[in-house]
Amino acid sequence: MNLKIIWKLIQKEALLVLNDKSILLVLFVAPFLYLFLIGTTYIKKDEEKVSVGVVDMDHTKSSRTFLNKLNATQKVDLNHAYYSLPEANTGISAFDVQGYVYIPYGFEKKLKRKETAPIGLVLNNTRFLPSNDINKAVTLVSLDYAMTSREKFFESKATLPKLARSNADPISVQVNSVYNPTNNYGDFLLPFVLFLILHQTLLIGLSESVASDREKGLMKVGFKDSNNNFINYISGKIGLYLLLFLAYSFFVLLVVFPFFDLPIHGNLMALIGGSVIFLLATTLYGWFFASFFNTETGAMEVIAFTSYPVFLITGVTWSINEMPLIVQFISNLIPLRPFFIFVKKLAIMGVDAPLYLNEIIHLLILLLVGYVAAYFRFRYLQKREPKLGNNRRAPLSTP
Amino acid sequence: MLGNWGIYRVFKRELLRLAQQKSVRNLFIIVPLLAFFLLGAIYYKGALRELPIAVYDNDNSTLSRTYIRFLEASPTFKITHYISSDEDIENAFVKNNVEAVFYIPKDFYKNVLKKIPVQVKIYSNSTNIVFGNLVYRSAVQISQLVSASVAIKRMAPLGIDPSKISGTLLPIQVNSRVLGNPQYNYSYYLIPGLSIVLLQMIVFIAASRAFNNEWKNNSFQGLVAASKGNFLSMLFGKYLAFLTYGLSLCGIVLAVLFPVFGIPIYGNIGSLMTLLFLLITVNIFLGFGLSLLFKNELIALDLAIFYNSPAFVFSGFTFPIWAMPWFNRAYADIIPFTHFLTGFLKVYQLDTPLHFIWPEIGKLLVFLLVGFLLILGGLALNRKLIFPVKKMEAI
Repeated sequence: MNLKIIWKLIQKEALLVLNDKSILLVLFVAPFLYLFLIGTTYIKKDEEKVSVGVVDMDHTKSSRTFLNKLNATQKVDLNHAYYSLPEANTGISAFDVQGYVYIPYGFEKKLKRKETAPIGLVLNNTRFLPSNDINKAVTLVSLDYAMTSREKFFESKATLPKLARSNADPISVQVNSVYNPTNNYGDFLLPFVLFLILHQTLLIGLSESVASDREKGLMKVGFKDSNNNFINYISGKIGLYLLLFLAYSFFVLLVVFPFFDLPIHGNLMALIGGSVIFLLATTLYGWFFASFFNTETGAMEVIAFTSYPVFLITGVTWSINEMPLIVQFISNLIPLRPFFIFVKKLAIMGVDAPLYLNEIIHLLILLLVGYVAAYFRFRYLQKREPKLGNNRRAPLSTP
Repeated sequence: MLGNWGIYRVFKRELLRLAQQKSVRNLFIIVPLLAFFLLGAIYYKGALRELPIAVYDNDNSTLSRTYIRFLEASPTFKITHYISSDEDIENAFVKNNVEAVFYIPKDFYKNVLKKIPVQVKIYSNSTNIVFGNLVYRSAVQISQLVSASVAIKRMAPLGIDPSKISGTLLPIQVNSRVLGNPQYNYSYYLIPGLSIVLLQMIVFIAASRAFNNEWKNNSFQGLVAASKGNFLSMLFGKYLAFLTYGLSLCGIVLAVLFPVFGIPIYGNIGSLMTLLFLLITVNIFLGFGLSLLFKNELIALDLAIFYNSPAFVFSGFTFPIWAMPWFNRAYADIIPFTHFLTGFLKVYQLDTPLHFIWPEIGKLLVFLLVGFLLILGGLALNRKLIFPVKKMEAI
């Protein structure tokens, strides 16, 4: 390992980046653009006031009271009144409302007669989040009615009000949402999406650079400039990206997380340490895969399509145990998976070191896998790439 | 006879040119096969069942065991751990990988008998709100069931008209009807949307290299010759070729991916194909616009990727557009997929008649107009490259 050579190669890589508008855009514009665009998308963290319609056939004080209670909940906004079921169904079909509540004739009479008064709830379930929120709100309001009704029954039997209340709901339930007290969408998704943005822009930028070397026949030049030493070559090639994205990781953790009010409950230094291992493993993987592309466009096109599958396969949104074994195996080969678990445990759950040690070991193993894969690929390309002759192309650093 | 028609000659030439390009093979064969089937495999189980939970029964009584039996009987939960201390509760999420911990307090049964209110505490791991919501819904259901059965036992000795029991216990009964994916199947929910967002990205990205790639490879003269210098022949000949590739991808999604993963196709297939045809057409022409505006295909490609990559997030599919700030809502509006998706969900999930998707069709047509405006812009900016023959004649 020769530091002078590595420094020269890093400078050379910086020149390549500066001279390539596409890589420049990917490395210096895309991360900020996406961090802003995607980050602010979830800035309110959760939805409020989901549009809900009403078909009130009863038109009584009781039906209006029920609807007012429902409208007072945070997630529901009763903003469409319909006069018939077909009209309300049209409202759903046109996506004017995400659901509607149907109160049939005789609602009040049944309530007064102490009979069960059925109401209808029709949900547009094409999107799960609003549908769940409406369902939850209607269920909670109807449960509230149940408690009041039972309480009144016990009071009518000369039971003390306090006792009547406890008799009405003898076994209550308290659900504590741990690590995300308001159970909101932003806190659930955003920490991972921010790192996914860094992951993808790093991969696209690095892949473009490596593929560009191959396209322009500069791979061999790079090997020669590194004295055919793998450590020199790979450090020079990926060093710039590593430093840049380490700086971005600092930015995300120190600026973006607080800006979006995202928690970092664990040790910040440990988080940064884990990020270094993750970025190192990712850059080695990135170099390895990019070395199979012969053109910059080819590399970009393919890597751009990995964003959604790579994110979904990590198990952040869907349980990894529900996926087929082969998918679980592939998932475990991607550094993003242990890193996301590490971020979840350390930043969100704030656990102590022994509890995230497995993820660090996993990341280190993947780092080793990436290193070995890159090393053998380097040796292979050294032998395979055409030897430099007198008509060798000048390295970018040469004016 | 068709050979005399410029559009057909360009179409045929383009089909062959695309087939010979490695990048097109990657985009239209390798990427979809890998991505679509990976997505299908991720969600192949469809619904979440048997979430691992831990139970801390600090009472160990008949009633607490009854409560636990209710938990065991629920399809949502699977009790994987029984814990025995407060300390274990803290570590259960990390050490035992459970999604919730149910804590039944000491003297649970005794207090119920003494008519002292008791509370079951549930700690749900809300780092994933999909699990968090499911735990909440099922836990409330089960607890209400147990609570109501105890309440009935207290009411009975006080004297209650049997016909009024249900009305007193549950005065309002909510009868839910779920339209569009009543099974709450994640596979039906996410795979169609995700596969089509990838499909439109593929078409857009490929189209964004349609003209500038010819300039780069010095093959534009061949295109001019095939079209006899007629730009409309170039444009529509290329369009038909890209449309053929795009519709083939639709075929893979609808005829292979969906059946393989058991995803049903609801709705009118004609309306569905109209929407897909329009989405592909819009993306082809927007891509052509970029391709004509930017000589450097890498820059065109960058812009195509930047513009399209967040399409799924902004479409409002998983997080509603109305909950986004105005700037993000505006960005969502300038992505054709956002409007396509609304129409698609109406037809595909709700089986609505065609007239319900006129607003979305109208919006997609506006994007088509934008595509043509971009093409006109490209014509104005790079006319010397697009009409090289005239220049040569002038020389």
